[in-house]
Amino acid sequence: MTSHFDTRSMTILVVDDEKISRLIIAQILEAEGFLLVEASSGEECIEKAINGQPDIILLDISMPGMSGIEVCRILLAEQRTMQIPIIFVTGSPSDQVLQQAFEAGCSDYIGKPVERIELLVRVKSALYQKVLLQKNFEREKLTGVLELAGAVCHELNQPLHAVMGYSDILLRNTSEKDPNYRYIRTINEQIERMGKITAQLMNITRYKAKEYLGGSNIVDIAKSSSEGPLESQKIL
Amino acid sequence: MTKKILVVDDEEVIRDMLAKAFVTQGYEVIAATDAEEALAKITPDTQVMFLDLKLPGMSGMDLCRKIRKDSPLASIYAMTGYASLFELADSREAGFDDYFTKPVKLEMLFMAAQLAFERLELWEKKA
Repeated sequence: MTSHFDTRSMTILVVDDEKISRLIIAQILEAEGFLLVEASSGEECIEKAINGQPDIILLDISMPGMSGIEVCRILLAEQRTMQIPIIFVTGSPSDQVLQQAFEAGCSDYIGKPVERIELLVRVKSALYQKVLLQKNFEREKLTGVLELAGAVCHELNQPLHAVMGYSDILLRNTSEKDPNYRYIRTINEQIERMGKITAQLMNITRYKAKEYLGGSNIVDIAKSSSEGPLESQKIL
Repeated sequence: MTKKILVVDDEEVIRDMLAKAFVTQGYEVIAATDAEEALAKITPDTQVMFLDLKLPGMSGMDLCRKIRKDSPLASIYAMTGYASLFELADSREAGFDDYFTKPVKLEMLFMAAQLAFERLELWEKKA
């Protein structure tokens, strides 16, 4: 079976209160190269989903305690897990249970007893959709970054040009012995540095973020620019 | 004969700065805020020009095309605060000799002006 991604880098969380059910699924998926993590209850599933960030969750519907449908609702409402596709694994569900399952936000469902080909096809299909969604999301973010870059360059380069020009004129008219010469030269150098940053902004071709204070992300201008990092940043 | 440079930019602070800068180098500067004013101020001896690409009304690109029709030997430079690669490719087609992305160091503009006048003198000697 061909894939659009490397199964060896994908982790699947299998949730079932019955160990034998988890084993059957695990054997099929591990033979295909997936990494497996198991949970035997809804609570354990939520904890492992948040902390382990699996690529997909195979979730039994009828479990003692929290049902699979309840777990699904919680995971999709939680920001850290809402992007993880969930496939329900269930015996022969009634139409009503199926309706509840899809309304809770699952991606798909697989009937028990689990059949190898069907399991692999549905898991890979859900993973492929996730990859596509992610790519689309990145593309939309890039469009936003490009629009912002254009606006910032246009607005900033005009005043930068004026300040750089005037500081150039002042430098030419000031003797190196004048104590102000050093200050004007610093203004001039810093404006040149800002000019290099706006030049990188104009060359943004991909979206790369870096962590900023307080865990938030900011666009990494150097890595997102086709010109690559500035000389000064390479040294750092 | 004084060497004349035309500067077109819709921002006063840029026009003033460029005028002061070129005057210190001994050039005479004619400044215009838009394409219309530029076309009205161009005389046969205006052969070196720096045009902002983003102008109100007629764009710097269209202004260049218009000037090129009557002044095939002129040296026309584009200045821009933001331009995509497509726009920069278009600037060649429009007839610009070169382009500068703001902020530009005056040294670069002085060099461009000097080369432009040297080229003009060569043509005049040949003619």
